[in-house]
Amino acid sequence: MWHLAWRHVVYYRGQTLLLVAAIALAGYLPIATELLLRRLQHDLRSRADATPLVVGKLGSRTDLMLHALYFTAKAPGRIPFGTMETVTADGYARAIPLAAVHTAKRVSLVGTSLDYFEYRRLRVSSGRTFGRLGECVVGASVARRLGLSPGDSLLTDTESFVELTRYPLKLHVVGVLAAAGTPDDDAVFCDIKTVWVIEGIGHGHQDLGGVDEPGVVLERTENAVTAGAALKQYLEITPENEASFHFHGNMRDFPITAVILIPRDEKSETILLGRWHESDEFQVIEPDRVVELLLGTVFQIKHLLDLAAVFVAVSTGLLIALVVLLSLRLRAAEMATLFKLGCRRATTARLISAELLIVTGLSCAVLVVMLGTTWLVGPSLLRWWIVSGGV
Amino acid sequence: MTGAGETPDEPVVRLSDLRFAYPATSFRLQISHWEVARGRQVAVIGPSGSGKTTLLHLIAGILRPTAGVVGVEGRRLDELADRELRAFRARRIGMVFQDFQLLEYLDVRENILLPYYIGTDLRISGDVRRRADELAAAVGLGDRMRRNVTRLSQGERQRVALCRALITEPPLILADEPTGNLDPVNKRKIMALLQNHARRLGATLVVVTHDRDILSAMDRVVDFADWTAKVG
Repeated sequence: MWHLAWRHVVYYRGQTLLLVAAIALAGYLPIATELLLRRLQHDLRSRADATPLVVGKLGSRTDLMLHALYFTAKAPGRIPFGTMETVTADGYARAIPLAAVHTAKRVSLVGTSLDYFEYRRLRVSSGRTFGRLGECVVGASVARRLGLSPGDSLLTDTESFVELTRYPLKLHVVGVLAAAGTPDDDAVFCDIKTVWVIEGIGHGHQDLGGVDEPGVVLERTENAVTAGAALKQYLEITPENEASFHFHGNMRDFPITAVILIPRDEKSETILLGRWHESDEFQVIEPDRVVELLLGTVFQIKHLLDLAAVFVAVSTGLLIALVVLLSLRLRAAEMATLFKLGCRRATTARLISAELLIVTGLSCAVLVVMLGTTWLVGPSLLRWWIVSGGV
Repeated sequence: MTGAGETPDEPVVRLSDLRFAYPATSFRLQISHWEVARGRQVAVIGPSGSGKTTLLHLIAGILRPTAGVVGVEGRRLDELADRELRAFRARRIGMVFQDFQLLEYLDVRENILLPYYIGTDLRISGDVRRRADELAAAVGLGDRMRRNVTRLSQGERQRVALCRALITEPPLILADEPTGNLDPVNKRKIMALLQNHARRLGATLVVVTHDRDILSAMDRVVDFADWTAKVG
């Protein structure tokens, strides 16, 4: 019986594939949504739970949370580097700066301090952490995707063709992080000062001491030298030219996008929240609370998706029933032959049932493969979705 | 090849006071008495629409009579329950259909073995497979056992249908226009195969045909148009 059923299913493989695809997809949509949302919930919560407080520009709390946790480009705004000192002045917390507005090869470039690695328990699997201007450490996924290893380099992206004020900076890869299964796998890390160089706040150029070329030196006085457009600016920081790099202005005013605050204890956290709750310049958020609010919204939407999935499942079921009925009508001659040869009604019913079971089994197998793939690529997919502004 | 509770002298086919009508048609079939003895090879001839195929279907239990007796191998088919009737047909009757009625999703071997795939009491064994190979070889299909039947010629399909009818070694073989689509050479071959196998198995053969060329080889000919005269 199974042999006949299998032969029928294989012979009419086009119809079988359509049925299998319809059943698998009808099952996949709700289950995959459930799986991905559970994963999203888990990832968001675990990342948020590991990040007690975040300081950022006043604005959307969700944007700030996603920016600080997932390095999304959509930060509410910039705050001065001096904010770090302001919020930690009383010693209630230690602070880790973040400046994540640039990209390198379309990957988020995160300017921070070495404390970040220690705090996130990130381990360098090959090479070392950054120590000088222009050096970077890449996340495990980035290294795999772009084929990067210590000794390689990558250029930062300029935002547009018409952006003339910023040049790409060549970053030297000095280390690759071990996979952590977090957004850190999908980022490139460098010292915050390197970000300021990219911003144009800091720069390096040829020594003007003995240069008298008219296009390079416009004016030389006892106290200052005015350089012209012909001055050679460095687009790469090397041991030879590193000393020429310098910053203009007060470092307290240099921009960052967020600060991760790690309070000494719960009491310190409460004091910090209370103290900076009504600041006119910046906000202090608790990522876990923001995540809960966000998940509340997401799960409200999911209820609608669940309802839609029920309709899809019912309509698919009805369509499959219709297909089976029409198929039986088309197979009337075959059924008549079986009857004439002495096939019992129960045997005919078993034959049809066996075919349906095979189709269902194949659909389940396809569904398992699809769900397995989703489970494997899900975390990366979710991170990409969040970073690209899906949440 | 005798069935349980039957004697060698008992006719294999016995029709008595048989009446049959298709609903909502003027077609009527009436046979007062007809018997076919064991091992005989009988041809039933007659014009189109006279009821030849209906007669075969009544003998096979595919159709149930409106009234009267249909006996095959000592069993009253008209009294059997549907389940018993189907099982009886699968085991004791081999049928060759006019339009072959092969399953297009199966290959030659699988079509020959079909009664075993669907028969509740029939099991495919090594002997059965060997028999299928021998039958296929005998009809010249030994090298095409794995070929799908849709890729066969009409004559080849007819031979597959013939093998399927013989695979269970039934005591009664019913053939509906077995040479209908064949050229004269293949016609003779098919009839020879059918008759030789029937003789070897000791089976009774009832052939319904238009084809007067094959009548000379049969033991007895019944003209449907003049049924009462010939049979009565």
